[in-house]
Amino acid sequence: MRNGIAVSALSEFVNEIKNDPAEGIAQYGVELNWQSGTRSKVTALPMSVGPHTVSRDFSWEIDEPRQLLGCNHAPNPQEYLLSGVGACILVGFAVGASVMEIQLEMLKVTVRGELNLSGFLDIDPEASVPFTEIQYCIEVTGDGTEEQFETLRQTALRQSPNAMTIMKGAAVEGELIINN
Amino acid sequence: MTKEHGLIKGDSVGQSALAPDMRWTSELKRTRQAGPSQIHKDWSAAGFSTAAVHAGTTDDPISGAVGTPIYQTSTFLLDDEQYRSVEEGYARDRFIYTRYGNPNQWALQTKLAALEGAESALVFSSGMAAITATVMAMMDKGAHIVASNELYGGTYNLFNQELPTLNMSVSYVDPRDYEAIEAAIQPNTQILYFEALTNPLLKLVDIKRLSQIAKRNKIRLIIDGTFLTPISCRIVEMGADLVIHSASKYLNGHSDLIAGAVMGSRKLVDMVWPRLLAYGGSLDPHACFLFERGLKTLAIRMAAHENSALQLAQYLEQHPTVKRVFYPLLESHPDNSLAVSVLKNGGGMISFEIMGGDKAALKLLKCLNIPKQATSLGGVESLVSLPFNTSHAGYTSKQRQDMGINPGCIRLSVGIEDAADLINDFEQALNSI
Repeated sequence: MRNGIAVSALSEFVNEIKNDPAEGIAQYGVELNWQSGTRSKVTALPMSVGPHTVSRDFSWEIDEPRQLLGCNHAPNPQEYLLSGVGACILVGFAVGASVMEIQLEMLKVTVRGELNLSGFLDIDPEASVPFTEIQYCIEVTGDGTEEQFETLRQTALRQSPNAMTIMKGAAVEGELIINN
Repeated sequence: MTKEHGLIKGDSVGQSALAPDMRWTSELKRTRQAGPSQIHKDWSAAGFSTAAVHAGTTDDPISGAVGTPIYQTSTFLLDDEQYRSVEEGYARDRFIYTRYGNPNQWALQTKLAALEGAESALVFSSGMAAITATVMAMMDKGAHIVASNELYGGTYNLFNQELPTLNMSVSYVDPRDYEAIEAAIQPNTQILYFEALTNPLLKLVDIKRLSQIAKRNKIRLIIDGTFLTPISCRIVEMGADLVIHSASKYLNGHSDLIAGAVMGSRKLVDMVWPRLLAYGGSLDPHACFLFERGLKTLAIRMAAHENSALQLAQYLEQHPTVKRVFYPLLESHPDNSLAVSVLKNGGGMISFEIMGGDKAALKLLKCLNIPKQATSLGGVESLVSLPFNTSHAGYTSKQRQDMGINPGCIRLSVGIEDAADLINDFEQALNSI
């Protein structure tokens, strides 16, 4: 199967959503439990695609490097954020390549970002809390033309939910539960 | 049929999703179609016997032979279209290799789908192959099932011995306690799994009610319909996502092959198909031929099963040696009102309990001349067995009684023999113990 993507099944799913938009609603969740210091354990919550539940039996750890008061036992939150953006672009690139009948031989996405910790630590009120810049690089080998790969790059970025969330933002709502 | 002649080796309705100059997913054109099938014809207005005889059956265009020829081949000639189907993921619509699909499998699957009123079907080398592939297709890592606590032993073994190895779990509940079923659902539950009619006490589950529970909780409903065929009720139309059969029983009906089947939407059956490929439970073309031939007479066989079973159940119910009789169409059956409202045919399964316990039951079996002492069910010949030393031998007598299986319980699969002959045989046998 070209690039490991079942275009026929994808097409059927696309047209199913055109007929019933509820089939295209995906809901996700994660639960983080503090372990100690800067370390937490994350568990993926059951997600849903359309009207059906999907079991997600996955968990992973997050930590900070020693310089940021952690033990450097796991990737940190920023690395997970960047990997979420990069993986999302990568999926879009592979899917788009399959739609354009391009056979990929290699695909690598690198994502880098810079933070000014003066913002997080509130040392400088003028310093930015968010990333000041995120850079990505897509390295690809395949039978597409330069023009096709450029089209793919633009489409993969434009259609990436995670990249677009970073670029355009999303409403964040929260609550606090105090257990005494 | 070759592409050079403008024909497709497979389902001509199932085509590539792609076209030149497509840029993104929203342009993809392929939609789900019923099948795959060599002939797409709507049999929904036809009666069961007409659909059973004709749906899916393909006459040989070269010789003019009536009926589906036996395509006893493992593999098929490949051309560009076949290669394309593999590259783009619509290989289920093409003939490539018999484990993937074969005209004899397709003929049978089209017939089964027409009888069930479903979009798609798959046949397997056994009912357990069908169950395993279907359940695994609907489960993800760490998933949970809510299932009947009176499952067929083979299914129970799969759930109890194999699924925990894959970090999957099962909760077992009374199949008629709908509050308990809903209470057993967990955040990671993905399947409700029940049997339409339980073994051996023939409890009838309310599929529409189970379907409502499944939809409310965003999970799939899978029903094992082995004890009830589409002639009795169309389980997918009643709300199940998928219905599974051990086709070795009523669907084939002649006790001469082992096969399984699953029917449902094209979307879900397409999800099962890769598991059929991975687990390898494909049905041989010659077995498909036998199965297709058996399936053609399903409606008239079921009418004969019901006719003899109902008369025999009524006879047994009035016999002084018989304590209890379970048959869905008897007014005394606990689920009779549900049965009358949803079943168009009561089937051929009877369970009954006689005075004198298992010892007397064993003696009765030896005195019978027509029913054969054998496991399995659904064949043209009557088969009789005792749960205590067959299907439920792994349980203690107390456990069996807790399930309602009392000493002296007999399970009878009534064949298509004349009711009068069966009644006479039981009369002499009951008088001999």
